[in-house]
Amino acid sequence: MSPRIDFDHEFQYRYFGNAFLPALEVTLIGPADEDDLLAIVDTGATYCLFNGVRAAAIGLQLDVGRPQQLAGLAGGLMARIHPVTLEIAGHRFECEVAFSEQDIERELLGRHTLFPQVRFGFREGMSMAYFHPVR
Amino acid sequence: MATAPVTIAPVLTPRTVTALASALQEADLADLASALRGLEPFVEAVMERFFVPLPVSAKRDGFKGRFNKLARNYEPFRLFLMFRLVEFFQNRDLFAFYGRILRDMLGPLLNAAREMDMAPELIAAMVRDYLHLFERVASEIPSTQQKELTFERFSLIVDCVHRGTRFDYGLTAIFLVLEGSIAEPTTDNKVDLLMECKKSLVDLAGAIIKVLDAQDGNRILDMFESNKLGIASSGRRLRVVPQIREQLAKHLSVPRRQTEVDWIKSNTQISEEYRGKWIVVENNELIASDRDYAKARAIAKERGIKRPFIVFVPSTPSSGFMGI
Repeated sequence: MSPRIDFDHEFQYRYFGNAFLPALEVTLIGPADEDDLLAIVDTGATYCLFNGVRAAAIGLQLDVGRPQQLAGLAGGLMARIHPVTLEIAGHRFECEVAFSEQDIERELLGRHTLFPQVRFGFREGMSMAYFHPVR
Repeated sequence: MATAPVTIAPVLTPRTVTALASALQEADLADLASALRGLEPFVEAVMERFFVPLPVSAKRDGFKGRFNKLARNYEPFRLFLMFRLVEFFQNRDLFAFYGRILRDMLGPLLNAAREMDMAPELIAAMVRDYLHLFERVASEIPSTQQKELTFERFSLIVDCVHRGTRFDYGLTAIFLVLEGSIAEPTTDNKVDLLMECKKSLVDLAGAIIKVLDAQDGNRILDMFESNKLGIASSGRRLRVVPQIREQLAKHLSVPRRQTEVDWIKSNTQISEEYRGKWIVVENNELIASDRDYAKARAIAKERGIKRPFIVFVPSTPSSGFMGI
C-alpha cells in the first residue's frame, strides 16, 4: 500500500516578484512586537532567514545573536541566530531563526528547528503547497 | 445565545420589496409597509441603471468586466437603501423576517431556474449559505460591539461592505433574471454570473470571519454548501457538479492576509513602481512604502496597525529563484 500523508492546510503559491512561489504568510513574533510577512518555503535552506532590519522592530538586538555564516548559490552572508515564535496558519512554533546582517530581498522558511515541528507538501503542477503542524 | 437585530436586506428587487411590504402589512406593520413601498421607485431605477445593462453582451470578457464595474457603481445606491432600512426598522430584526420571505420566494424562482437551465441547486445553496452566515453574524454582534473600533478594524468592516455589495449584486442579478425582469444571459454568461456570485459569497465569508476574528473560520467555509458545487457546461446545457477539491483548495484555508496578497497580485504595477522598497499593505490599501524598513513600519504603526504586513518588493524581478 502507498503511504498516505494528510495535511490540515493547503495554500496556493503566492505571486512573489514576478513569479509564483511556495510562499506562506508568517507572523514573526519577537519579545516586543510582531510583523506579518511572506516567506518562501525553501526545503534546501538550513535556517529560516529574515531580513535583519526586522530584528529591532520586534524587540531583538541583532548583534547579540549567535553569529552564523550562511552559504548560498549567489555567495555567502553573515547572520545572527535568535529565538523567536513563528505563527503559520494559526499555529505557533518556537524556533531559532537567522536574521541577516545585510539587506536581503527574499525571506525563507528553512529546516532548522521549524521542519521537525511541521510537514510541508507540494504539488507543483497545481501550484499548491500543503502544511501540517506535527505535535 | 444572545443575538442582535440585523437591519439589512439583500436582493432588493421590485418583486422582493413588494413581497416584503405585503408581509409587513399582513403582520400589522402598516407604517413600515408604507415606508417600504415608498422605496419602490428608487429600487426600479436602480434595476434600470445597474442590472438591465448586465446581460447585453454575448462576449464573455465583456460580461465579466461589466459585472465588476456595475457591482462597484451599485454600492452607494445599495448603501442608501440599507440606510433607509435602518431608519425605518430601527432596532427590529429585519433580516430574520426577510429571510423567511426570501425562503418562501425561492421555490417559484428555482422552478424558473430549472426552466432556464440556471443551476437551481447552486442558487438554493448560495441563499442558504448566505442566511446561515448572517445568522452567525447576528449571534456574534453582541460580543464584537464591545471591541474598540480601531482604524484596522474599521478597514476590515469596509472590506466586508465591498464584498457584501459584490455578492448582493450577483444574487440580485440572478433573481432579476429568474423573475424575467432583465434579459436571460447566454450560457457562458450564466456560468460567469453564477460563479462570480459564488466566489463573492466565499470572499464575503472570508471578510466576515476576519471581522469576527472567528477561530472556526475554516469550519464555517467548509460547511458552505455552495462551496462544494461547481458548474459544468456542455453546449448550451449547464450541469451542477461536485466541486473538485483542487478548485476549492484556496478557500479551505483562508490565510489572514489573503486580501493583502490578492491586492498585491492584482496591482501589477507594484513590482515596477515600488521595486527595492518595503511596502505595508492593509486590506486593499497601500499604507506605506519606503526604502527604509523602519520608516515604512513607523507609518503603519502611526496609522494604528498593530501587526503590519510588510514585505519587500524585490529590486531584481526574476522568474528563476535559487535561494539567497
